[in-house]
Amino acid sequence: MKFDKIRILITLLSVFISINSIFSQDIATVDELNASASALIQTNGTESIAEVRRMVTKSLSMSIELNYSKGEIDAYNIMAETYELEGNPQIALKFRKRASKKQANPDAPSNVTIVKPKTIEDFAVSTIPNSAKSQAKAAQPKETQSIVSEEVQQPIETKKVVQSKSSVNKPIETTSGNTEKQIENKLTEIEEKQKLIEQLQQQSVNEESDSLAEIRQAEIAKLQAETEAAQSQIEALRKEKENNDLRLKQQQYLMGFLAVIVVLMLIFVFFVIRQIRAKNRANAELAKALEELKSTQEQLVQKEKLASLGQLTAGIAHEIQNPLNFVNNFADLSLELLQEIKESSDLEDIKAIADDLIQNLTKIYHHGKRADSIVKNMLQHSREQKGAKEPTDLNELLKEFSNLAYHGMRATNKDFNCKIVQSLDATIPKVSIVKQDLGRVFLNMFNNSFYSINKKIALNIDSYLPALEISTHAEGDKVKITIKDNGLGMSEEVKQKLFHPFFTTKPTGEGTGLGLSISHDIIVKLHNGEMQVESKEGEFAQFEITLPKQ
Amino acid sequence: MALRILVVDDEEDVELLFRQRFRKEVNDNKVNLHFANSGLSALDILKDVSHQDIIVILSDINMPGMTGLELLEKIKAQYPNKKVMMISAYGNEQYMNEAEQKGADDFFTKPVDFKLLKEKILSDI
Repeated sequence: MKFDKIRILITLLSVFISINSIFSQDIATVDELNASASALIQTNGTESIAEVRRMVTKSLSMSIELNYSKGEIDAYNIMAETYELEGNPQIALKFRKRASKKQANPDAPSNVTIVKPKTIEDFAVSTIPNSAKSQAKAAQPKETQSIVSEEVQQPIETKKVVQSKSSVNKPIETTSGNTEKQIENKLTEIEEKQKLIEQLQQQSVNEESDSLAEIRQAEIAKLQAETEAAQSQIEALRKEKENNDLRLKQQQYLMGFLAVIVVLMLIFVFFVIRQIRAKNRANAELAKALEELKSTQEQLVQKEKLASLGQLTAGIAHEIQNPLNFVNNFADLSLELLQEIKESSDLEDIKAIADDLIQNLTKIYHHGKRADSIVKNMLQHSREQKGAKEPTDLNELLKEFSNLAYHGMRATNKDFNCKIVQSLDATIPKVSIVKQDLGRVFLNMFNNSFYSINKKIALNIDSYLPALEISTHAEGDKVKITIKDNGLGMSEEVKQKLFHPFFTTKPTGEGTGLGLSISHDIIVKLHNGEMQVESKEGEFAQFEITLPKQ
Repeated sequence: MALRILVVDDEEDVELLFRQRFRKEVNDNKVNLHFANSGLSALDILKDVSHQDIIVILSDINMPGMTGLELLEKIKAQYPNKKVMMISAYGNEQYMNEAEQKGADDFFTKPVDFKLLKEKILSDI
């Protein structure tokens, strides 16, 4: 009420201040507007309703502003006419009532306070429904609602947009881009709504009519609710977007991870294939190398045989030469003896000569056999194929090969000499062995002994008497052969490697390093025997070979 | 007086061979043969008082233990007047030169030519 009084005061003041000029002019304008609106509706009818209403609202707002009751009443009446023309008598009636109310009490302040609209259209949108709503509120709220829906287009459209958007947004399978667009749309929507709310709030502040304010507030509340709904939707969409982004990121990570794994697997497969190929190649090469190694080993073994044979050539020549000399000499002598028999007439003499002849022929036979045996052994020694085991007199074999070795050494080293002490047990039985193999072992032993002795001789030790001791004796079901020389002996280090293939203490080219290795194999693997070494460096070396009797 | 000869060889049958080869000389008491199968036993025989009149020694070079060349040295050192003749299967110059250096009176290669050997021994007497 206080507000009203101030308003009246202001109005009165304005009336007093602008007495003629502006005031009268404005009233004239109102009348003019009303008159032309009335004329327009008379001539054009329904076609010009919108135009008429715009004009009327203008005149109405001006009338209220100027407190020009006649203009206001006229405006109401024209408005009512438009509604009647439209076939909406109820609203028309309301306008009529307003007009009559104003007519009855022209000084009463108008209920309608209108915010100055930017355009006439805006004005119409914001004003007319308000008056309509205020009228509709009492009678039919539902209808009013429908009118509002019709008239107030913007919020409705917004709502529709919201609904349509939300319906679009409902499926979860929206892409991030879509979500963003949706959010943008929502934001513009919200902005629009907030603008509207502000507008409405401003309107509601200015409105004095409680009912209108209520309606406005209800609308505001509705819009706010819509806004909130939209915001919550935005929130949901944001969350969804975040979720989507998160999911997208996770998916990207997963994809990246999978890609890395795939690449790694490809690399792994590549390397595996390459390695397999390399392995196959390496295997082929290894197989080839092994084959070559085997053949080389065989060649080396053969070379070792031939090397020891070569060493013996001179010794063998000597060994064959001696029996041949005897054969020749005894044959020659026998011829002489036979000549004597021819010439002799003394029976006693002839008998004596016959005895000599028998002796000679026996010797010829013996030495012939001896040479034969040496040749056979030599051939056996160089032969590659394995021999068969046969009962053998070890003592004889030792004698034979110690002689071969000795004379071989003598043939190549003129300074060499050595006392050979043989303590051979005549009672040992014949042992089943491969003669050529064991012969090679003995030869190797003797060669080594003589080599060592020869080296010691070269040291020119005055008191040194070179000696080789060969002994055999039975030991239970075994036969033990001991070969001991007082040469240079060997260090513990050499002793450890003694039977290793290719190990040699001889200068390069002199030894193959296979002699004792092969010997060890022959004794241990071929004959189930044992081979042991004892030595003191600088003093002696002793090899002990144990062979089973059977 | 028979010529006493010592034959040194590690081959046992050398004795039989020499005895047959010198059978006539032995029967005629021109030659008296002694045998040793090693250098050491040869020196033992020479040490023996009953064998002081052995003048000629025929020795093989290749023998186990003491070699013929070592025996030669020892005999020449102990008995400078005794004649030492070397026999070897290896007719190489090295052996011959060495034997000569050590004072060997003669050098024969196997197979021994007994005719030549007899001539040399008997002519020296």
